[in-house]
Amino acid sequence: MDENNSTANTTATPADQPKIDLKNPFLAGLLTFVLPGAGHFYQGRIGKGIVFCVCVLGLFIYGLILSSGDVGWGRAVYWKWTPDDHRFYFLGQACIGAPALPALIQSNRVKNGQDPFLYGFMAPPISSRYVVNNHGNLEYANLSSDSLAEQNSKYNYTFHQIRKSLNKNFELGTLFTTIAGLLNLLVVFDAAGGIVIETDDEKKKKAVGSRQ
Amino acid sequence: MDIVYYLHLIPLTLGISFIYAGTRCEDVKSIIRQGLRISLSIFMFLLVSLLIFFVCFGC
Repeated sequence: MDENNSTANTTATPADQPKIDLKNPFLAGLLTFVLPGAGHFYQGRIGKGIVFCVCVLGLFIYGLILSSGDVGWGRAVYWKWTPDDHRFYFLGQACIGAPALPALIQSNRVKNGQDPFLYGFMAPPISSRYVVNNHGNLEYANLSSDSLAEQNSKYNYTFHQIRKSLNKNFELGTLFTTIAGLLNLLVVFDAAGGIVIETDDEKKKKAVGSRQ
Repeated sequence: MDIVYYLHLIPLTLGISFIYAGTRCEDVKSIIRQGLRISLSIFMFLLVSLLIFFVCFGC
């Protein structure tokens, strides 16, 4: 793209900052939302795209590995919205885009009565069985050994079983994957709006602060 | 030991720092330099915080 055409979509940078051709900022933001770093590749900011891709996906995959075990793979990332489980964390995890898509597929499968595939990868836990006790409170009902064995062979575990099996790694996996998703929002803003630039006032304030 | 779980803070801090640095610099070398500098600052802050916590509460 020549210099004249690129000025329309370039960030207003001071003299010491490089000019960035954002091409179509909306498309770049959308691509980054779908796959971290994809918008930067589209804009030709290859190095930066690689850094973002490695960092965001690295954190997400690290979280998935932490939350994998005997109960299945990547159990910290799942979508479920039932009275006994409101998975708010997935709203953050979903911001990573396509990598969180299997969670929706698995959720749909389980909802339709099918078994999760790929060793329960991102599959939601099955609903806990609750019964009302004599005092009118909800109480966790023990499952029979036959039904448990049948569940376990198909990676259908309750939340309590997954939590007990993975222990603290479940929480860590949730934390890593949620932060990775939220960080992807920063990457989206970078792709759509360019780098954060300090104004002259901010520079002056910093200079005054460092002198004091 | 529970202390092992604190080691997970290393990749988390590095990831956050590099992405934050990426939003402020365009050059990859600057991103890496800034990212490492921010991570170091966070590690020092965490180390001092944890030391204070352990000294105060003796755990």
